[in-house]
Amino acid sequence: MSPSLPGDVVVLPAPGRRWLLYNVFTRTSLAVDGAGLAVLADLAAGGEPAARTCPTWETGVFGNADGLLADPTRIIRDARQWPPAVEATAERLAGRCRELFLLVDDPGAYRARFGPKKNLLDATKTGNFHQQLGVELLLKRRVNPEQWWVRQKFEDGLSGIRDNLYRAVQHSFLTGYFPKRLTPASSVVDVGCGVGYYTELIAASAGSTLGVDPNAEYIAAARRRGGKARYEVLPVGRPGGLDPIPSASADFVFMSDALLFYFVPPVPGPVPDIDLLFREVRRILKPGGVFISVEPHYIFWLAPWLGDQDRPFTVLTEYRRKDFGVTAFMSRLVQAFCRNGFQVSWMEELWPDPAFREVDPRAFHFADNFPVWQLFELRSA
Amino acid sequence: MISEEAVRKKILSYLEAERPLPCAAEEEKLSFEFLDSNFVDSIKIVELVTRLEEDFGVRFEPEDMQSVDFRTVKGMTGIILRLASR
Ligand SMILES: C[S@@+](CC[C@H](N)C(=O)[O-])C[C@H]1O[C@@H](n2cnc3c(N)ncnc32)[C@H](O)[C@@H]1O
Repeated sequence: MSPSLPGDVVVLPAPGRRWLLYNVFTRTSLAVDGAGLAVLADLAAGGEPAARTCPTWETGVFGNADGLLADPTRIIRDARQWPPAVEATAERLAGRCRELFLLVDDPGAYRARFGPKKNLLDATKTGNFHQQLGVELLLKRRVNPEQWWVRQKFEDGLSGIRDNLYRAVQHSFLTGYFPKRLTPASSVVDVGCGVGYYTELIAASAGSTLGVDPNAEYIAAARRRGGKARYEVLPVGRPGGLDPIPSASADFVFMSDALLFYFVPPVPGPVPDIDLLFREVRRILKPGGVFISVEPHYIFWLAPWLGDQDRPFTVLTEYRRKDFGVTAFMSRLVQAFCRNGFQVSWMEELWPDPAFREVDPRAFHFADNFPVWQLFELRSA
Repeated sequence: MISEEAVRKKILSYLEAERPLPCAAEEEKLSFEFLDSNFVDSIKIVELVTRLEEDFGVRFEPEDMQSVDFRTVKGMTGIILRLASR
């Protein structure tokens, strides 16, 4: 049987009469010239390839190694940065395309590869985003994911946020939002506060601020900053995790980039119980208190950035049935709120600061059209 | 020269530090798929990898680690001996 080009592959134009073959599901790619394209078409038609050899360019890169909010497309954008061409025989080209899932022999086996890895070293499955990042960080780069997380978001010494979408969207939004929403009379609990960066932003506008996180190293780093907020290591997400916080003590509970773990665990294993967490959040909120949730957008976070730099488009490969994605889909998240007695009192999608257009035009234009975070304000019903 | 025996013993000592592999015979232990049976989690895998690399002065490539051989003591021993002989 002749191999086939899966329907998951799109061909994108590239400079210099070259074509970029891109599998939108596996996010793997290779560039070829017209002869290479013809070779693949010949092979897929079950014929002898007309050309003997053709140049190929390796265009893949794990962009998210630079950060969770970096370009998730996995294509080296600038064709001038592509490694030098490799002259490949038709056979070698076909072999490389098989490795990159640009050509498949057995469509059933190919489809069966999509799904969670059993463990970090399981190469029979593609794995979800967390697992792919784990493979990249732990096996290829050999870095500690927790330290990596801090470095991809913050500048050294936690003095600021790195100049990426974290700063242009999340930080710039929250800088304007907290002073409008909070007063010196407000008491706030930041659940899953990490190293306390936003906790201190909250503390600058609120009366009393408590940051809690299960990670002792993050809490130690938060305390070292010597800010206004108090910090506690608490086993958030486990039964009784927020017990030390008194009932009806908070005007606001804030949570950012942490609810996603209640749908897809960051490492294989059980997910924490969101109903239990939300009951706890309601318990510590005062009557009329507000739960503020800022999470990666349930549709567009990690969607490929395709198209021209200033006129992006994206291709969605999944929404409800997530093989790759790690966020809850819309109704799943909103139903979790409603099921636990919260009412949505406000919702918005966050957009980048216009000044970011000059810093990273492609990231700016993408995030300006396809939101990468969403905010919910919720009240106890 | 590193002996096959020494490598096996070392791997087993790390794997069985907390509890023995669920196998009766020694031969079974060598071909027990400790990865796929969830005997070790990702953090333990990374620890195991770093320790073995230090002990035997080798460096595993991602392809080595994701290979079928890496899932058993016998296969892993073979990979270490191959890398060490280079
Ligand atoms: C992506 S970080 C976000 C940190 C911080 N809120 C921010 O926006 O910079 C996720 C944080 O959630 C914490 N975490 C882990 N498991 C959690 C859970 N079950 N519930 C709440 N937070 C959790 C982690 O320790 C980590 O600090």
